[in-house]
Amino acid sequence: MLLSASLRVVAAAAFVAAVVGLLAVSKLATQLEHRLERTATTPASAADRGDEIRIAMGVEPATLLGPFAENDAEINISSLIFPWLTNLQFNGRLEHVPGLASSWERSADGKTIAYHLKEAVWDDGKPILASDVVFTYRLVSDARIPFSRREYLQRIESVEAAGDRTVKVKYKNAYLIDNQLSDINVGVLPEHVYSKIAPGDIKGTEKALAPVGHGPFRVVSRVGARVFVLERNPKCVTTKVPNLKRAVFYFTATPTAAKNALLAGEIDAMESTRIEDVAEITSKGGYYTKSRGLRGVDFVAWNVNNPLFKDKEVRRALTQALDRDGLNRAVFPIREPGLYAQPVGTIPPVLERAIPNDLKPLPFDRKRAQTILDERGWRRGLDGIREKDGKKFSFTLLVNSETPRRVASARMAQQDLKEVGIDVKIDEMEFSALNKRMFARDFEAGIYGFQTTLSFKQGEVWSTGVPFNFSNYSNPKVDAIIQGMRDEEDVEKLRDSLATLQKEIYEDQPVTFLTWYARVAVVRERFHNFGASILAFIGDLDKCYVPPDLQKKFKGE
Amino acid sequence: MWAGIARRCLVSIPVCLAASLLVFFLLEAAPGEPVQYLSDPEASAEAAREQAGVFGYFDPMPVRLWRWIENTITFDFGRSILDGRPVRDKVFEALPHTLLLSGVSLILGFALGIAIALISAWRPRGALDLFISASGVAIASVPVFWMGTWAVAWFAAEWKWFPTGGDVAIDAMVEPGWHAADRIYHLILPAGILILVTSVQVARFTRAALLATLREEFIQSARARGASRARVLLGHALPASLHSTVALFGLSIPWLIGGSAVVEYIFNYPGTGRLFIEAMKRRDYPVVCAAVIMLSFMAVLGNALADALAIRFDPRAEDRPNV
Repeated sequence: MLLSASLRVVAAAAFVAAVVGLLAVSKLATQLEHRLERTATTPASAADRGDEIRIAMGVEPATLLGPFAENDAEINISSLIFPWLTNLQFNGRLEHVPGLASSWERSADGKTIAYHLKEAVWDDGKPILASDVVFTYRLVSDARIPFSRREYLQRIESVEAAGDRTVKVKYKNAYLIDNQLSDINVGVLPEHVYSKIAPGDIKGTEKALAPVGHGPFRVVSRVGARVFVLERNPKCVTTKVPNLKRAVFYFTATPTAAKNALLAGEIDAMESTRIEDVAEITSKGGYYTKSRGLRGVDFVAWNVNNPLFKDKEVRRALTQALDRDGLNRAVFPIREPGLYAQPVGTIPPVLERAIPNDLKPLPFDRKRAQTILDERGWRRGLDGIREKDGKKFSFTLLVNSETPRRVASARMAQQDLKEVGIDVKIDEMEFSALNKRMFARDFEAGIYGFQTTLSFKQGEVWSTGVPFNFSNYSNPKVDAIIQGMRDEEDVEKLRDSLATLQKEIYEDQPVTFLTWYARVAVVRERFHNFGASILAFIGDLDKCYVPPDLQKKFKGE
Repeated sequence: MWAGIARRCLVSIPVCLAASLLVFFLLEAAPGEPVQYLSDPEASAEAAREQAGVFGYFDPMPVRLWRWIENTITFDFGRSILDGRPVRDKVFEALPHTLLLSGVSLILGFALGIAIALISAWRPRGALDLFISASGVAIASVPVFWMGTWAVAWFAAEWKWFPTGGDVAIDAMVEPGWHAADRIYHLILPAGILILVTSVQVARFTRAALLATLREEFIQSARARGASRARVLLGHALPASLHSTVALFGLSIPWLIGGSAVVEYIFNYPGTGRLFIEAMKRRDYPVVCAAVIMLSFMAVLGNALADALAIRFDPRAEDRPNV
């Protein structure tokens, strides 16, 4: 009996293995046929509106509801499926252009803006009304709901409907109109759908991932939060109706998985491609890259509460001791314009005329750095390390281990500083651990970075005591400039203030700016005009198209 | 037999609770918090903190501990901090994928392992046996993540023989139906790696048991009675050796559920392993709590199954004190 039992186990397993093998072979055959069919596709029609694009993204979205969009994926996808009062464009500065609102006018005292809405319908056919805008404003103002931009709403006194298609927004003060428009600009939700859900439950509801909206695309199906299929919305009035018939968003756990999927032909584009992957993918041919513009900045934050970094002349010496240009050339293997640059501050270089022309990065000058250190009393000891009052110039530099660019920067900084007699120990740690130390100000020096804002509301990170002012930098003049900018209405004056602010920071060097870098999208060549822009990875997807002879056909076409 | 298994399950309840508490305190000690993943650094940190506060993240530690214990006992893990969805929904969405991957890997891995052990034991210390043993050592010494990474890079991205990841093709995902053939096609690489790793362990284990059994007196008797080599090996030695292999089967269940996490992550496979790794990375505590409880119960179930199978193949096992 035991013999037959064990034989049965082995025989059953062998049968399962055989079935798996057969199915795999049949699947391979089907795939091959499918590939051949695609290759054989000829331009059957002259229609230039077709095809679909498959885009890989990183972190799965928790919601697609416009007002609650936080991460890149959420912001990008929700911008395609929800109407915004105004749409944003960037031409050296952020500009508001008609979105759901066809026009707007500001009152004489600058405290009220009246928006006039276009005639439009939600995906379920119901009309979009001014009351939807009011509902959305009330919803995001509700303290029970997590909403990261609530601080902007604090400048608004009231939002009211004046008829079906006019919304009046009253502000507590008059300030720069661009910022006034931005502060109220959230993706509008349909009241008749979302008012039926308790405010606290909206983010986790089914309708958060399969929303009813109005935009160039609408969600037609999804698989968990891993895959979203969006279809062109021919009734869209907030932007141009897209050329592509469908856009599929596919979420991968790691950038490597996305790269492999792109190379295997499973997807057509990927966002924020790692620079080392860009080189590998483009070397295969058939792809092009699209730089999103210099918005990311890496820097070394010197904790000015530490006696080593209190003296601004010493901080300037540290900056001049670092070969930032050499570091960037080593870190970025691709020589492509617009991919990286040497920064002078946190104001992105794309922000027109905000940076004074005479401001250039402090030059790499090892001799000058050594002279300054000598002058400030930091003399070399017998071991070659500088010391002052018996204290060695030795510190620990924190860096997160997940970003190879920053780890390489730390190592090169260590070498450069050793040359001028400064001993640096590198402590690599997980990003979460680094964050904890940086926010607690429990560090001597640390490499950090973030994506900067494009609005003229800049520089808040240099205010005394704000969380992202890692260096504990405090300069009353800087605080006064920032305070003055908050209620400034004149763009030219704002530009002047920003330029002054930038100069102050440059003089004080609370951080050493290492790199401006751009996020890079990689796209299959079949897709023309892929709209990765500095504002969003897929901000201009409506302009993307595939020439008719290269279009993929769908079933039944 | 059932009384013994029930007793084992009862004893396991405090074990699960203790494992859950251990994880709670480990997470408390670990750096990082969900706040940093809730918004862009450009947004104000206060706003992000406000969001995390809505989910009770900043409640005092005893309050959070009590909530954790309550979740553990009631199996109601609440909502994910990151997306507000019920944790139970997220786990049950992912669980079938993991059960499929692990189940296939476990069954085929054991079948292959036993078959390899039989081939090895056919002529112990022969050329084939030595080759199999050496290959086994080589495979066992390669980390799963390395094997997975290279399998995707070559078999999928470079040669395009298999998909790079996921459970079905994107085309199939958006169309109704279960797409059995496509799912199997997507299983081949990830399951293949798990099968390989499992079969190596099973083969070594079973081969050792077979060789020990082949030295027993009843095998000598069978040979003396003129039984063929195949009959001796399959009809006498294998059944007598399988009790330890089937015990290994039960014990492998929690290993496969947990161990497949790395493979799921590399292959972008939407199972519980990937869900839990993401939750750990982003400090989504309710999901992590669910993961710990689930893995603990899998371990308990695996042990119970191991006991049941051991008794089924060797009734003397029931009298052993550990059952």
